Amino acid sequence: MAHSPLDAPDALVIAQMRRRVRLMRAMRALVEYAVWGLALATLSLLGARAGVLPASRAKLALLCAAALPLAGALVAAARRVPPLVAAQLLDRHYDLHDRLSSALEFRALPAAERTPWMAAAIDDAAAQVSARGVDPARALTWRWPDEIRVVLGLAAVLALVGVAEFRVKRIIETRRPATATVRDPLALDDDDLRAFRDLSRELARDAATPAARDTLRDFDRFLDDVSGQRLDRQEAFRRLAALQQTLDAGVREDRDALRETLGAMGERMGDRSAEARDLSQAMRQGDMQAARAAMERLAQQARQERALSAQQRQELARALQRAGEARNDPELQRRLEQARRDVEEMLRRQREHAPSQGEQDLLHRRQREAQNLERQHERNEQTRRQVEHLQRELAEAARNLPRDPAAAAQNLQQGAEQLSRMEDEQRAQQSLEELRQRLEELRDQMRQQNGQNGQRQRQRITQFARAAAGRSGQQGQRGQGQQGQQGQGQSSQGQQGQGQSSQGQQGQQGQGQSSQGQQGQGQQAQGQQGANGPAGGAAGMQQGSSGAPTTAVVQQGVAAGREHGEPSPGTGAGAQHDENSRGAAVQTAQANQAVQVHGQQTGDGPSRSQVIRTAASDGFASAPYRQVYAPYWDHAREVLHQAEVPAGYRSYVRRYFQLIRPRDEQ
Amino acid sequence: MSDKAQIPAEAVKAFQRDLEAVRSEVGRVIVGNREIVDGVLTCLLAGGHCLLEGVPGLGKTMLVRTLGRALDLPFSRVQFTPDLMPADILGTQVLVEDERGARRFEFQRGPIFANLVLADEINRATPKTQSALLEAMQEQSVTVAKKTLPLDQPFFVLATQNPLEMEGTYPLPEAQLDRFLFKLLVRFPGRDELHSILDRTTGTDDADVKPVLARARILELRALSREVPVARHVQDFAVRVLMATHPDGEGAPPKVKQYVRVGASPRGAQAVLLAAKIRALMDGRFSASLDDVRACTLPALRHRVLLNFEGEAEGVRTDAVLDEVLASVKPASA
Repeated sequence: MAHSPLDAPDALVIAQMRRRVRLMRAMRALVEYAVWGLALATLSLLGARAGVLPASRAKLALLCAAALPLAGALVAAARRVPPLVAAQLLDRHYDLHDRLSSALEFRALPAAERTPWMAAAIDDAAAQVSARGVDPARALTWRWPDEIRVVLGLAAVLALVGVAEFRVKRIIETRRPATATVRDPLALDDDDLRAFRDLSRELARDAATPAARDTLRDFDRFLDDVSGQRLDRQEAFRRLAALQQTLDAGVREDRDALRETLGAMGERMGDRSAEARDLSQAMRQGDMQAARAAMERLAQQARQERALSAQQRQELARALQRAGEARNDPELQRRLEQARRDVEEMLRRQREHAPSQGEQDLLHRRQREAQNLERQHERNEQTRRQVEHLQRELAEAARNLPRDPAAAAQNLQQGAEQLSRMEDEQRAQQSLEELRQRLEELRDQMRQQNGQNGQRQRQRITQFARAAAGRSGQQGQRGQGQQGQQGQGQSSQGQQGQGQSSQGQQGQQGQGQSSQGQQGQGQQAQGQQGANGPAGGAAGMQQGSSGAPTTAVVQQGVAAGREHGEPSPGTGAGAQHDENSRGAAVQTAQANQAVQVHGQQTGDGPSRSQVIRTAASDGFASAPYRQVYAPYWDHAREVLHQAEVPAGYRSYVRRYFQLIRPRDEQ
Repeated sequence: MSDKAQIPAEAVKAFQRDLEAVRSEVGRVIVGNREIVDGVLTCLLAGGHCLLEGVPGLGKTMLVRTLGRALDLPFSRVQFTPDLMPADILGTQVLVEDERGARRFEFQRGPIFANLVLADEINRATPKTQSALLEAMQEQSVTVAKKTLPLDQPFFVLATQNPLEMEGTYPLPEAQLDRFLFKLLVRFPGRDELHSILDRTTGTDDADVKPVLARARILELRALSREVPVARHVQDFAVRVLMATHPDGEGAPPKVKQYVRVGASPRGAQAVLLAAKIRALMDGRFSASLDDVRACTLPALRHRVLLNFEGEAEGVRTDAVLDEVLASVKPASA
């Protein structure tokens, strides 16, 4: 029986044998390469657990370890298995005396070249395959390679390493962030930086909106960079300008407008409803906290059916209705439209003929006026949008109150929440406004401390700040102090302060009367001989009035001094002072000793003995420095806002208070 | 089986049948020595000659005589001695007077003019005599007095030699050894075989060997054996085995490089392949196999591989060298 080359039994078993050989090779390679893969995986895992190998590399190594046996198996399976090899394997196993391999070769010859003997050999091979039941599976049985023991052992080790707990002392090196070298970094005194950090922390407490918090974070980063001297002068001012720009854009100028709008709502609400009276008053005063509390009370009353009579409900509903009415400012709208029309008309005329100088000036004035009106209109719109929700809730509450008190209570509660949000926003606005003002000071300080003589100025500030904080004195200035006068008089007659004679005589104390009989009270700087006092830095702060009885709590030795020494100003103190007036060194961090002086409106100041006696009988008052400082600084700020103080001097005052501010440790 | 393959199949069966008949007849006289018998028959069917080496008394001569009788071929035996002359083998011109008184020289044929010639103890003759025989073996003809006389076919020489006695012997030169297809080593019989030998030879019974294979049939079988195909990888294996017998040949094992002076000639590969074919036929197969080649390598090449002085001095046997060759050479797989 003749067979085609492909379906002949010998050809079929040879093909099967080839596949089996490939499979065996692949499995053998899998096991052999698994040895290396497991070894690599074990080492990698060990290295990773021991901290020697980074996790990323360990993962890569584990991937390679897993891929290694698979790749080896694939390569082995892909390798060609010559048919002759398969045939010889079968011949050998079944003792076929090369029948299959010879037949394979004979079959490969062209049919014309085959001799009868070759054909007989081919047929004989096929017959032998059938007769002997040649089976490739039996000819090539699977036998685990010797490496399987190694594979199992390594797998066990790998599992052990995987589950075992390693305690490795790991040293983690933290790398400091690379900082660019700044050639001429902007420097600011540490004390100033601390002051601004304190300010930032203080403002952050009131920064209830995300925008405000973001701005303060930017400000902190700016301070960090300045502190780390990572900014040069140009970059520092650029960052500062950017911050200010952000604040200018963010800080609304509608705070007063909002108060006015709320006040108008309160006015419309009126006092006819006794229940709405508190709310009305709070709105008129612009006190949003009180308004919110009043609205919450109203909501609570609305929920209780018996809390309000029908008439009261009617009255309250009418009041809320009036408050919820949206009002526009028709006058402003009219003026704005008129200004726009005027500007357009002028521009049209100027296009028709060349304008005169007067016409041009008039146009410019009108344009500015129109711009101002636009801004005002825009602020009104912003305010209107802010209170719109509140008005809507009030109007809704007014409608619901007669028939659905619960819904009205809900509206009122939501209105209270809206007020709370507005209050938060207002506080944030105030914080930003405060920050904006302080940025101006920061800019001035940056200019001063980084301009000419900036270094010297920073040293002076440092010395002053240390002295104000009661730290080590400046001995070197003591000699100057012997000739200088400290303090400054508050009137032409009042010789206050306590000049120290050039001879180092007793300083005249505040209690002492001048030769003109004018009273003076004051404290003067303490001077101490030796190096252990703040002689150089201490200054006298004095309080004096022309015979006016005053009650002043004066911190001894806290006062800073303006150095107006003539002819040679000094900051020191005389060597000899009234023993009674000599106080201890300023220790602002501790409970300080204070003197309470009761003046008498007699025109005559109390005698020295009287003062001492009074103090002895009433005792000395004492208050923490922080409590003393705060009212002074508030008062100073109020004065700076209201009084006509030149801008240059304002900065001096602010700076002075900044330098003597209570520190964190106080 | 296809029609085309039918003829070889029947031929192989007939071949096996005839060979078995010869073996059977020989086996009636010769005890054991199946390999020797098959080897001799292989040489006969391959058209070659056979050199039997063994100690005296192993039945070499008996084997050849029995084979001659079984094959139904004219048989002659020449006992080689140092004084044996070529004419004693080839024949000579003798003066002959006819009835009319006319005298003339007439060639008197020597023992070489037989189909089966037994050259007993061939190494005792001088090289001159040996060469006369070997010329006939190679050329299948004899030239006497400028006259070439072809030898009758089949012409088959069976030579024996004694490996023990070296005194007064003339070892065959390499070129002459190459004329023999096989060199068969006649082993000493085992105990059972000895018993059988004694039983057969010391009694009164005399085995009668009948001729079972005629001359013409032998020639047919010769032609048949040439038709057996050999696959390329089998032939390649034979070639590589041959190459490996040369010290500087490809795949030569260390022992060959150390002890062999000259490897087998191409005639050796021919001998191996021819013998492999006949062996396949004897086994009832249609093509020679690697095992056939392996089995024929030793008898066909052992007298063709010449050892160097070191090998001779150390008593290395060529069979050991060839065993290492066979162990080192692997069949081609692609």
